[in-house]
Amino acid sequence: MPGGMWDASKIEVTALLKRNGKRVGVLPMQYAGTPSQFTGTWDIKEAGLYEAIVYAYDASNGNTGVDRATFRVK
Amino acid sequence: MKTKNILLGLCIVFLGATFSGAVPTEITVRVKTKDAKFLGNLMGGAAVSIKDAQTGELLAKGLTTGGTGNTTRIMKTPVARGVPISDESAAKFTATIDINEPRLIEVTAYGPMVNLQAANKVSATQWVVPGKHITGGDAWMLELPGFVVDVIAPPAPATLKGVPQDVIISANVVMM
Repeated sequence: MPGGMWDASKIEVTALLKRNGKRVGVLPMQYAGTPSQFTGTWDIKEAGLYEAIVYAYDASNGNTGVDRATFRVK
Repeated sequence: MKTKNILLGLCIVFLGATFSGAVPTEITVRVKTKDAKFLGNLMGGAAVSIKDAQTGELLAKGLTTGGTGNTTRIMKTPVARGVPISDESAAKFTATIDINEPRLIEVTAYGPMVNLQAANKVSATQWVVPGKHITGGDAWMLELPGFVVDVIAPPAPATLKGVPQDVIISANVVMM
């Protein structure tokens, strides 16, 4: 959480968005009010197979993590 | 003269024993996560292998088990030379290897073993001499980088109906 032992405000959490395998956007995610959780809203206008590659990055020491999720919009 | 010969003989026998007999040698491995604590049961541990770095021979393998360690000691107390940051609560993997001469040993850790998208691998080598245990202080400590990022929304594999629509992307981000 912000100001905690692991300060959420110094960790950059961003989703890189793809539609049908092509990059379509970058979505900065915000602290969601619950410890450790970050969220963002993506306005999807077209159907397709989507992928969100979410990374967390701490510029103060280079620490980085990634997860990916796919979903279909009809 | 006879005494000298006996002493010489004993020395040869002793040296022979030192170089030919396998000597149990204990190695304790701890995996500390970057900017955080020790990797143990809470995250499924780290898979550790102990090999001969020159031949690739696998000498021991297992998981680190135990807790994350003492938070105050690891995260708040300034680090001082000779003062370990681990204590008995800090997760570790201990193995006894039988070696009969100094070996260049490679220790590799891969983890965490849960949330595998966060798993990284680190390794290091050092010489290990028969009977000279690597157990003092923090022992053989490796630092593992990474965050656990876990996308929790949308749930996989989701199919969302209708466009346009606002899709909420949420992730849980934790230190290892």
